[in-house]
Amino acid sequence: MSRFQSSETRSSLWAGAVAVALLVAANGAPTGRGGFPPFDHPVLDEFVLQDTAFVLSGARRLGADLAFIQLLLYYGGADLREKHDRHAGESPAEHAGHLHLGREGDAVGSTKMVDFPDLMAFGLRVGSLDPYFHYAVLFTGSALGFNLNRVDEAIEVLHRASLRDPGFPRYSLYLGALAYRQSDEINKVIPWLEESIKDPDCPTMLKNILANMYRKQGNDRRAAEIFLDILDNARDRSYADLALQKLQEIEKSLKSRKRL
Amino acid sequence: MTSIFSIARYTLTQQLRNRLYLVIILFGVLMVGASVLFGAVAADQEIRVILDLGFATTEFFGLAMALFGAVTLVLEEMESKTIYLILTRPQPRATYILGRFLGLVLAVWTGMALMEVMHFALLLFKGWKADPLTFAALPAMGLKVMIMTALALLCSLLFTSAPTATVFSLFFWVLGHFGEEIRFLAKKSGQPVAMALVKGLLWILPNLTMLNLRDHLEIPGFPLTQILPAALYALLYTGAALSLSIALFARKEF
Repeated sequence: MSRFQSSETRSSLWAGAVAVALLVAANGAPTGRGGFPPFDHPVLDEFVLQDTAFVLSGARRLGADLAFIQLLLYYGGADLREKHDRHAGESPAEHAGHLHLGREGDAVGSTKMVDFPDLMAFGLRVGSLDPYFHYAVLFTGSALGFNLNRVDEAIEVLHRASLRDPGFPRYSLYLGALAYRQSDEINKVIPWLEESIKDPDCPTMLKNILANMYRKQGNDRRAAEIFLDILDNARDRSYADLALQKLQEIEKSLKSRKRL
Repeated sequence: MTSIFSIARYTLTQQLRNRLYLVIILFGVLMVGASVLFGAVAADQEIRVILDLGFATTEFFGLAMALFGAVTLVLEEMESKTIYLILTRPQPRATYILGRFLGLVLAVWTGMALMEVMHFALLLFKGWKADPLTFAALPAMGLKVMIMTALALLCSLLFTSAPTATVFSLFFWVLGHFGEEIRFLAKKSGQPVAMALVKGLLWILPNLTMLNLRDHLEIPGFPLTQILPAALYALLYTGAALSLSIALFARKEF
């Protein structure tokens, strides 16, 4: 009996020793390159639990996706509610999507729109969860800088994102465009935006902004090209519908010009 | 070795016939399908959302299969006394643990593979341009769940209660993903004692962040070769957890 017990103890000790040796080896093995930087603090108090849960379960990318959807709901939903108050009389399609149509490319440099006060925080929240979610950063930057005319906040979002991911060249491109936007030099903004929309990761919203700028300048040809691109490639149906409507408007105006 | 494979085959068949296992797979597949709804509200980022939600679902449901399987694997046989049938044979006890573990891991991987087939079919249907880099996330997810299976098995032998073992395994899962943050907080506190404690703690906890390739694949310049040190780590850590399980099981009296 004691012989049996001692053999059990011996094998148990052996297994324990092997476990320690393997643990030492595992911790001594090369770890390779790290992933995300540590999640230092939640940005929006109301989402503390949600964000922390995603970090703790090792799903920061998915957490960033849901945070981005919440950003879209905040910006898009509120936008759709307010449009009726502000632009009564304009067609509903004019306001489809997440945009302040009619204001894009207006360059009313001195007027800051105070709607969506938390939009910057929503954008920073997405970035804190996934610092490499470029689309969300560009979307927030474009919405703040070109739609809401809060260029300072847009610059802040892009600047923080570029600190986290300095290797992404489009941030400096956007920052350049925003700098001209801030000084109301719309003609200088356009080449920067032209460069930006070549990026496959460029938000459809920015393409829409650029097309509207061209329309305001009377360059319907280039505007139509961009709207066609949106119609063909946008995954968001509201943008595609809007582009179709804009194309019809351009066609109508061209026909009336021909008649004159 | 033959005995290990026999026990593994028996465990695999047992798991594939387990109703709970099948229900988890069913829910997993449904959840992967439901990712289309989330994708629809993400505008231009539809593919990204479906990709991420599908991966996360597969991993979480894989974890659920591993936890429920591992914590009941030995305990149920001990309670029903069917374990005697195996232990009375002239085989080392380690054979039993290794066979059970191998069978369970294979069953969990089979379930995860089924969910991933559904996931990728959905992605292709939605116009996803297949990126070979993405597939590197799959083995990493499998290895992560393998570590958790070994830890859950260890917890079940340590606590001899299925709920306690499940809770402690989940602690390992959470802390395994929170390592960088714990290190960051300890560094911020500036106290050498806290830093030493954290260092010790992180030495014992699994580094699951290292295997989080599904989150890191789109980081610019992230090397695909990362999978190699991650796999080596996973194998060594699993080996350590299994050795401890064997040590505990060897000392058990029936």
